[in-house]
This record gives sequence, C-alpha cells and structure tokens, in this order.
Amino acid sequence: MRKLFLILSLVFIGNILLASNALFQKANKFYAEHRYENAIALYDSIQQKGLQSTALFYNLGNAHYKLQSWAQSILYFEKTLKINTNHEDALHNLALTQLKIVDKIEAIPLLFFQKWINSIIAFFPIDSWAVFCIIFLWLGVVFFAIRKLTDLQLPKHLFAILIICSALTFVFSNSQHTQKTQQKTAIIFSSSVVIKSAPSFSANDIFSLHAGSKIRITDQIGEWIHIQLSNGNKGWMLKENCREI
Amino acid sequence: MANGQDLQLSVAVNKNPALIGEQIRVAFSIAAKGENFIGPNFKGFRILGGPNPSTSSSYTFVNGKSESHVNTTYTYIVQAKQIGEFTIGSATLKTKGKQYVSKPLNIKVVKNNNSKSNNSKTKNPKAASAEQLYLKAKVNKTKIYQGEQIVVTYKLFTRIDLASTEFSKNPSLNGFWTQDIKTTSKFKREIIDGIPYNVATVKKALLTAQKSGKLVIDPMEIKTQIRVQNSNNRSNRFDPFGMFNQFSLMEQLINSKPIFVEVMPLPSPKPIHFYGGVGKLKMKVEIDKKTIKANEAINMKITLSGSGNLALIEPFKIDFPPDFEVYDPKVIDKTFSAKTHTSGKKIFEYLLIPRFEGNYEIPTISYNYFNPSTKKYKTLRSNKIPISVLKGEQEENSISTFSNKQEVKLLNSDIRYIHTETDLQEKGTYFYQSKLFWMLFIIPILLFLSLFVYLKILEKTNKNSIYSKSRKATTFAKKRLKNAQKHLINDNKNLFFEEIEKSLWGYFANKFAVEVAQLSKESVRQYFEKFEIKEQTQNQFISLLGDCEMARFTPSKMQNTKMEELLKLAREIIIEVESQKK
Repeated sequence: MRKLFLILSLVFIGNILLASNALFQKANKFYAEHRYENAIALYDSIQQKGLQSTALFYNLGNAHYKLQSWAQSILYFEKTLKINTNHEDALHNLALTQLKIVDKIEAIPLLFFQKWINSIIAFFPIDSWAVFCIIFLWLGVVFFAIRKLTDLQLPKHLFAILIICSALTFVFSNSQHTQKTQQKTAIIFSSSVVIKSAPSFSANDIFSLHAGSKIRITDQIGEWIHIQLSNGNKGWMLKENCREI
Repeated sequence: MANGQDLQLSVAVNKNPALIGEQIRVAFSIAAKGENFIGPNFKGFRILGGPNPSTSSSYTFVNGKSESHVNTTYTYIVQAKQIGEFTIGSATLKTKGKQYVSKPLNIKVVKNNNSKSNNSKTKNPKAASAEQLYLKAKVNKTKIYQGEQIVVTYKLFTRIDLASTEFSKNPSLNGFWTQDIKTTSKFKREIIDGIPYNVATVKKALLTAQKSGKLVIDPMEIKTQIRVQNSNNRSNRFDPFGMFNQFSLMEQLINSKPIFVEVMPLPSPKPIHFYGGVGKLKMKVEIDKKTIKANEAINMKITLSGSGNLALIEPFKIDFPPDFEVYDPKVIDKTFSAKTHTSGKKIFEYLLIPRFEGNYEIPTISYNYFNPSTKKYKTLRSNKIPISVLKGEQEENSISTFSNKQEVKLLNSDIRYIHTETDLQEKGTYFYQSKLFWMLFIIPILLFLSLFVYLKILEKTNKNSIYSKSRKATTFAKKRLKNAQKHLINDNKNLFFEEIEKSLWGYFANKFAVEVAQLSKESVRQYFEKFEIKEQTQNQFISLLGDCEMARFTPSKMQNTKMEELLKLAREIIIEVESQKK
C-alpha cells in the first residue's frame, strides 16, 4: 500500500513537472514575442505550483525589466542569485537594473579574507557541500575502523584530516543554508519609504528609501521590521513596503 | 477760496495745562473772512481781553495764477481761576451764509508753586540750574526677562530759553538690541509739581535684552546753548521798549542719570521647541496646494504674529518629509515698533519640492515662546497637513549622475536574454538538513563512538586481569607454600622444593606482570630494580631460588629442619617484597 502511494505520488509530481515545463516554454515564446505581461502570468502560474528554478526567476526578472517595473525585476534577479550565487547573467542584469533605481547604496567593502571565505562558501551549492560532508565523514570512520581493528598500515593523520574536512564542509553548507533560509532580505516596493528610528509613526525620520533598494530584515515587532542596509544604516519601517526575496 | 467746504473753525491755546492765575491765550481762526463771531462760554476762566479779531491775507502766484488766502483770528486772553479741568465751549462764526462751529476744548488747571521763581527766571545768567534744565531717562520696567522688551525715553525738561540743542553723546546701550521709535522733538508744555516746563522727547527706543544680568542704560549727553540776557546792559536806558535787548549764548552740557535694569535669565528647563521667542505670539501655517505632482513646488508659509522680540526671530528647524527638497525660507519682516513692544508679523516662506509620489505629511510644527507676563512657556502647535503627491511627468529623470565608467558602459548594454532550459524543483527542498542527510550524518558518528567505546572496554579488561593477578599473587604463593608444607610432612622432598620454587616464580610473574617465557634470574633483578626493591631482598630472593633449584636435584642432602627454615624464609621474603612494592 505504501509503495503504491509512493509510486502514485511520483507519477503525480512527474506530471506536474512535465506540464510546468510546457508552460515554461510557452512563457518563453510570449517573451520572444514581446508579450511580457502574458509571459509573466505564465511564469507566475508555475511559481504558484510551488516549483522554482534559477531560470524561472531569471526570466521573470527579465520580463519585469522589459515592463520597466524595476523593483520587481530586482526582486527576481535577487531570487535567482539566492539559489545560485554565481549566476552570471542574473548578476549582469541586476547591475543594469540597479542603474534605473533611485537609491545608490554603497556597500561597506568586505575585508579580503571575508571575500575569500565568501567565495569559497559560494563555490558549491549547499547540497554539494552536504554530500562532501557525508562522504568525508564516512571515509574518516571507515579509516579509523580499519586502523584500529586490522594490522593494515595506514597514514596516521588521515583520520584527523578527513574529520576536519567533513567539519569544514558542514560549516560551509550550514552557513550557506542560513544565508538562504534564515537571513531575510527584501526589496522595497513602495516608491518612497521613510525609515524611522523606532517602530512607531511618531519616531524621528532617519532617512528614506525608494523602490528597488535591497534591505536586510533583522528584527520584527508586529507590522514593523528592523532593517539594515548594505552600507550599515539601520532603522524601522512598515513591512508592507517591501517584499521578501 | 477754492474749497469752501473744507473750511473749519479751529481753536488753539498757548498753555495747556495751565497754572492758576496764568494768562492763557485762546485763539479761534478760520481761513476765510469772518463775520458774526459769537464767542464761547469761558466757564471757570476770567476773560481779560478779547475777542480781538485780526485778519491776515496773502497772495501767491503759481503758474501765472494768483491765489489769495485770508485768515481771520479772534483772540481772547483769559485767566484760570481755580484748579480742575475746564471746557471752553464752542464758538460760532458765520461767513458767506454758512455757520461754523468750533470744537470744545479741555484745559487742565493745576496749582501754582512757581510764584517765587517765576520772576527770577533769567536773573542768574551764569548757568541754568539743574532744576531749570535737565535730561531724564525713563524706562517702563526695571526688572525684565531676557528677550523681553522695554521702552526707554530720554526727555529734556527746560524752563529757560534754549537756542539750540545737539547730541554730544548717544547712549551705547550695550546688551540691548535697539529699535528707535520716531518722536516729535517739539517742545510741549508739562507741569511738574506745579512748575511749568517745556518738555521735548529727545529719544525713544525699544530695547530688547540680549543677555541676562544687570544691564545699564547709560546716560545721554546733550549740548545746549542757553540764551542769556545780559544783566548789566548799558544800552537799556536808550531802549525803553527792550527792543534791542542784547542776549549772549552760553553752552551747557547736560547728562541723564544711568538706569540699571535687572535682566533675569529665562527659566529652565527650556522646552525643546523654544527658539528665543519672548512676548505674546500666534502662529499660522498655510500651504497653497495639498495635491501636487512630483517635482512641482509647494509654498508653505509660517506666520508668527503678535508682539515681542519678533524682529529677532529666525527661521527654525522643521522636520519636513525627507523626500522633500526644501529650500532656505524667505523671511519677510513686517514688524513695527509699537508703544511698548515690537508688533507685527514675521513670515517664513518655504519652497518645498516633493521628488517622489506617495502620501506625505507635514508634521505638527511646534513653537514655544516665553510669555513674560505669565512667566511661563507657551506652546503653539499647527495641525498636520497631509500632502498627496501624484506621479510626476518626468520622474526619475535625475538619474544622470554616474559614479564610474563601468556604469556608463553598462548603460549602453542591454540585459541578457532569458534562459530557455530549466529544471524545476519543489520550493525549498535541500538535501542538507533533510532526514536522509541527518541519518547519513549520524550513523558514522554512532559507528565511530561505538567502535571507540568497544576499544576502550577491551583495553580496560586487559588491564583488569593484570591488576587482579598482582593482587592475588600472595594468595597463590601462600597456597603453594601450604602444599609444600604438606609435602614436607609426607617426606616428599622433591615435590617440596618444586612447590617452593613454583610459588616464588609464580609470585614474581603475577606480581610484576611478567610473562612465563621471560622468567629468569636476570629479569628478577631487572624488575626488582625497576620497582625499587632493596638489594638485600633481591639477593635473598635470588639465592633462595638458587637453593631450591640445587635442592631439587640433590634432595637427600637436605634435612627436615633446614627445609622448614627454607619454607619460613620463602614466606618472609614474599611478605617483604609485598611490603616494599606498593
């Protein structure tokens, strides 16, 4: 009974995937014919089925760019990059879109080793790192067992090296995972938002942001969110003014 | 005569207020030829003379046209009889069929204290006394708050004839912000303590205290020239009418006295929105448009009106929405110096340009001022003004500033084309942190741990066996020695020695965890030395072993007593070793 259910569900999912792929191709066709609204509608319908891919988000970003809705465009390019940090086309198009928006936020430059670490972490996707972690761990334990239980002469430090590798890959995988799931980033959608010093309308105005700016959400109290910009500025605003990536 | 309608019968007196017994001239005049003059009712006065009519006429030629002006004056000389305020009634005059009526006139009559000095007016030619000529400064308040205004008046009082007056030193009025009030420096008659003076207001100013502390209103100095009649004038007799009386001019400097004004600092704590306004103020905030397109201008007017140190009020900080471009306000000063305060309005005109669409709000503008009469701070508040900004026509045109060349390069390129291949996945499914991942992650760790624990246990059991052996070494040895004793009783000499030897070797092997294959006299020495057993004990142990070995092969030689001794020795040595090895 359980097997049957599994098979049925697999077939079902397979069907959805096939249908969605067809929708995707249809949307691409609309895009090619400059019917961007139609293309967006189809891409969105795929999204609503709970499916996603870099290409889907990337294409959505492009379609919104063509309609000059910059904030939406940026949102989808950022979503693409959230799945694949090194998506070159998305990076290029995002840079172009960012020229169209009002706020030019200069990010605080990272230290060289932070850059290195970030690029190493982003070198493989989460799951690749996770698989490496498992492989190293198994190898390590197997080597340990062989060394202890048989007379085979194996390099002495191999076990330690393998365990360290496993731990590192675990850390990489984990940090990428928290970056993608825990760390909330968002794009401002309102044409202009005043950032307050406290979560209340009567608080002082600190600065203002405009559609398309990327923010990091660090806290939330009711409808108010505490945000941080890449240049280090912080403040409070209403959540309705932005959409999470 | 061009405008007969404007004619009017006017009345004037030369002394008002007047002293009792003084002669007063009352003149009624009209700019026309007068007829049928009917005099007024001089109640309270004695008429000494009049009415004396006099007519003057003048001709003017303007642009070839001649105009004639006629003036008729009827003069009375009256004398005040008693103290009080009296009214000279209306006089009537008829001319060219029309009747003109003058307005009644009030005259104040006061007590005369001047009877003695009245005649000695010019008797002392040397200098006018301080009583006859002085300058007096007066303020309306002497205790004020910082920022409050006071009025200072410098008045010149004189009872003598002055030829000229001239400021020689103007007061500097340090610590005050000064605004002069226009004065007519004409002399007016004033009676002080029954003595008539000619009084002129030389200077009148509104002073705004700029700092707290004891401030001085410093004296003013005026240079006067007094006309003095030469007393020993010889030509007097040739001039019985006094027509050519000779006068000489005398200079005299007169000073006012300094006045001290105590300026109190404004009470603390000062409210946040206090910007130095002191007085009695009102605020009005106006805006010309409430709905506007982005990038268009809004005019906002803040009007502060009332009285106080308005002239010193500067534009203050207003928290405009940050997306508004705000220009420095235009300040319009519509203040004037009233009697005791500066009054009027101060207008700040702001030009606001919202840059982006959206709903904004000009926040409540608060302004605190200090009211010195109630000694309290008061708050003026405007209402919030909502402004809705619609999408502008050329919005986002301002993006033409590029910080580097790369951006310019990017601007010329278009976005890259869409991707046509995709591998759709369910949202948010990662292998990392899935159940499978954790299983594969935990299993090897558990394996490793169990292996580790297993190895540890194995090691421990090994160690345990050695420990227990060494613990039981004495018991085993004693058992063997007991067996040996049995053999001794049975007279089984060979077995007896074997048993003793075995008990010694066995004890040694168990106690020091020595393997059977390694048992030798050298290893005994080696292990004994390692565990610091005394040399004597070592030698005894080894010689005993040697004896037993020897006796095993030649048992007959041994006597029973010797054998018992040997047994005893073996027991002692084992105890000895046991006690030394801890």
